Amino acid sequence: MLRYAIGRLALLVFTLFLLTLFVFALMRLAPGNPAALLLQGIGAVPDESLIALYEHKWGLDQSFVQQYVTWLLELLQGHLGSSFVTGQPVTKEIASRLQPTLLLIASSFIVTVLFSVPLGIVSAIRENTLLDRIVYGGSVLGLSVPLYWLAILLMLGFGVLWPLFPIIGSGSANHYVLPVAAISLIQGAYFVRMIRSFTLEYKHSFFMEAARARGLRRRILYPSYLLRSMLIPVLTVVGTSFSGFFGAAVMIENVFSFPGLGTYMLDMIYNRDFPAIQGCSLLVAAVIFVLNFVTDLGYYAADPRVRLDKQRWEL
Amino acid sequence: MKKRFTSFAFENKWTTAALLFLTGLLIVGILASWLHPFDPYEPNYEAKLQHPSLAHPFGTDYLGRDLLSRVLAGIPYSVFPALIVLGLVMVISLVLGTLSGFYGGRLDMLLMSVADLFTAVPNLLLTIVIIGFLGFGMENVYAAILLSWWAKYVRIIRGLVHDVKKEPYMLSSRVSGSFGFHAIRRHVVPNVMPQVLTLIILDVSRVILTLSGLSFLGLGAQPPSPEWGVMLLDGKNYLQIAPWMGFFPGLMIFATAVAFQICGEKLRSRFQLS
Repeated sequence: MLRYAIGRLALLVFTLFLLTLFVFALMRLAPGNPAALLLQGIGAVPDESLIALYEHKWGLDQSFVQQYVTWLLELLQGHLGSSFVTGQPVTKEIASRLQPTLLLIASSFIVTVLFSVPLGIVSAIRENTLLDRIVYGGSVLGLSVPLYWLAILLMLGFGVLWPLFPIIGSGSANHYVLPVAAISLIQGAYFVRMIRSFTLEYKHSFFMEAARARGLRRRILYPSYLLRSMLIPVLTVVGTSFSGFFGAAVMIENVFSFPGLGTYMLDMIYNRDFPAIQGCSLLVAAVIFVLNFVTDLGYYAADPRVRLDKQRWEL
Repeated sequence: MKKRFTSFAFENKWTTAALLFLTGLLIVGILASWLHPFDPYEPNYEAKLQHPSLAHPFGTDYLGRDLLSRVLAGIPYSVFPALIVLGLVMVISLVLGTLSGFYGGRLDMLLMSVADLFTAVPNLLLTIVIIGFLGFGMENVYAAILLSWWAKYVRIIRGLVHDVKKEPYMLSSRVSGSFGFHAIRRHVVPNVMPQVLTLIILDVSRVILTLSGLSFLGLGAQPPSPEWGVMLLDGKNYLQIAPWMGFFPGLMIFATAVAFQICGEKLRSRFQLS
């Protein structure tokens, strides 16, 4: 177990390292002189001598490697630099925006898992019944609904025409109802789709056939054969879902003018505030990588084959 | 081939409807500039924010532009780019994936480790990082989507090619003297194509949603464009006064995505993919 965990952890650190390199290189590739952009950010008119002065001051005249090493060392101490626009440390700005987003993602996640995992499994067990067709049709539709359109329709229906819920901001629990509903419906469609097809695959597999042939009753067959093996695909779908939820949250926060990390990130993209974009994307990537790592450990616990099986990593 | 297509198209009423809709969309998209009843760009302040009516079936927007005309004019901006980007993804990954899977060796190892890195970073994040640094605009959006999608397909195609290589017919083709490029062209590519096309068609709706989503966030196409995501953004700002402004563009995105999804699902069940 320990060896496995260390191996995965090493891979994680390596990927994160490459990501920092990528993000840093992109910043250097970006059109426009960073020093000029910085100066514009603090409201100064950039001219040649000023740019040269500040390039020297911020170390922009050093070689790429030197700059990268300096930046990485800063990063390791938790400094993401200061925003070009506000001059505040990026870490501080992110921290103040984190809570609403985390709350939004966590509640949508719980709602989604609660309704979609059982629905996917039940609809596969009752394959080709009316329920299954409705669930399958619903998930195909749900996969094609533009999230932002669904959110706008919900706003229109339950915020404007029938004003049950507020449609702007994040002040109270009521503010979360419509955003959570929108995210859960879309993500739920994806969950149902995946879990249904995995369940079907297992349901028609040889080990289930063999168990059925031995005359095992459904009451034993489904809980202890089917559900036990469903643990792994469910873990996969759930464990790798964070980036989907985060993407949905960015979109939804923008629709509902929700003061979270997603709106912050977009504002910073509009302002071309490089340190802030770097900070946000590295943070999100780190969270995703850590969650993947935890999922991998979960496989280890749930699936005895992982200890020998290398094939999984090729999928 | 012809017979197989008709049996695919008319076996199931949903598939028939989806294919009819997509064909209509394609024709209208190509002929867009001759078909729309009003100028999709020219403001007409006397007719602004009108309800859907006989003259304007989808209503008009805050500049008095006919929404039906704008929606139709938006087809080439909203649907075709997704097809082009995915076509590019397919060509690139078909070349790399086939080489990697067929020849193996060092090239394979190198390609797969690069692909691994790209699949480790989530699509949306990569897209946002690229647009964040390189700036807005459709070219950057396309680049971002290409960069974040190719790896997945290279890996899938490599896997498929690997399986095909083990088939008995590959051995017999080898015995009868078919090697290298000839074998790839005659035996490998035709045998992986159905699966690859199915996966691509299943992903068309996702790419359409991503493209219009990025435009909706203001990162892709920019305002005078009749791209559906841009129109939806306008619609959101006029939600309380003119809800039809956002409703119809969104409906079009939805309908197009559903049509592609239905065709993809149908192909998937035909080729027994999971």
